[in-house]
Amino acid sequence: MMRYFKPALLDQLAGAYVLGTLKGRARQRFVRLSQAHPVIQQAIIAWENRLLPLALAVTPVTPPKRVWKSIHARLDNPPHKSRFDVFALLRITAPLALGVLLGVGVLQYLPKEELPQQVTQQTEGVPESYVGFLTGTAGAAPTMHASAMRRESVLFIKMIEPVTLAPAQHLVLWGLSKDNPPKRIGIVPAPEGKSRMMLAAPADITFKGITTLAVSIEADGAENNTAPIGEFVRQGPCVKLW
Amino acid sequence: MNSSVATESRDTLTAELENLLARTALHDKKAFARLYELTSPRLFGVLLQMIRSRAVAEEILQECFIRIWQHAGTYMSLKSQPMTWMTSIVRNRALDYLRTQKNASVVPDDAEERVLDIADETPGILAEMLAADEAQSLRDCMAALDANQRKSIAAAFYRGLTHDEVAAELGMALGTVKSWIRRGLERLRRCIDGQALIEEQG
Repeated sequence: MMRYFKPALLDQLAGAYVLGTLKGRARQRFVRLSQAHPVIQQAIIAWENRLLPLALAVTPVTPPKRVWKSIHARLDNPPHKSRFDVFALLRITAPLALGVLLGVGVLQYLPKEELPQQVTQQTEGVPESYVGFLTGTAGAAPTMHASAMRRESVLFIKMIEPVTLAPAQHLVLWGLSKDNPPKRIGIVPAPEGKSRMMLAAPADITFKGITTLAVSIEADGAENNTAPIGEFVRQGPCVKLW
Repeated sequence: MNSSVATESRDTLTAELENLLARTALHDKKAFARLYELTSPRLFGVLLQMIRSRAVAEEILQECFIRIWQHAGTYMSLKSQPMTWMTSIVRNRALDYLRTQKNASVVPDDAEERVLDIADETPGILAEMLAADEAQSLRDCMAALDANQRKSIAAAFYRGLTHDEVAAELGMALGTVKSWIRRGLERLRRCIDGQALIEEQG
């Protein structure tokens, strides 16, 4: 493993990965390691930025209309795999969240037979709640979680990893749903550690229909914006637990 | 299009693509449709160079845009351009497919020439805007490589060929081709990073 961190070798492997000549198990291992080691991710991104403009030389070909029709149809009917991804995230994060937070009888939108035993054992008899697990990168471990009791108007937030803000910036929490524009939940009181956010309505009303939580960085002075302007630095599923 | 206008247009388009990705992260379907409209011809073109079957290329394009829909929130504008990020998704999926197939060597062999055509013959507003600075820099650096290094890298990049396939196609020993590609990439890195440094200092 340590040999990957020799700069010359890392650069060589990252170049081969982006070009496509790194193959087989070496490629799989490199991808797997990159997910855990930012230095490898950075080396890959550097090579992508160097090489991928080559793709601009390819003659554009407009795809047939059926491609977009198929994509559009799949937006409303996500394949089973996408639900499994949420399930997998829950399986990974449940012990952490449930140790600190709240609990459940049933994960409502998952068939009960799919619930990990660990979740059902740890959540019996715990109050009804909403909980969100947010990450900075898809598939990465949670870097933030948020939770609220079903009928209460306080959202408990814990930044597992802090967000670095420039002067005159703040964080805003958004609720995303399939068919509606993003819903502004409120300003995240602190970019690090634990904080509490007062909700405009009890959690079951505030988070009704919300499937995903996201946090954007916004400029001070735009506290009343109804749509995000800054990029998302945290995002993850919002789960109803009862 | 003169270079300052091209740069301004490219920046405008990049900003639009970043905005569309941000809206896509919020599952804004109109933004996603516009993103698809602007970028799918380029990405489909990339796929058709790598994948022999048009039907498979269409299927992969679908998968990649669903992935973009699901993961747009992970795009980091400080790390890469929007087209670079989307191209990486498409190429990686195509490479995954190719490594399970044996069809990579049947596509047209004009890869090397294409490298030298960057920014000159790419029609459409997207190409015109995007092909300005980054591609010019890369083209200059590619042109500075030895012919064998350039040919090997172009074949691997555009057609997704492995070392073995490049060696077989060029009729050269595997070790020779590996050396061409390794040294070519190293020269490219030095050249591109050097140009970037000059631009920063200038």
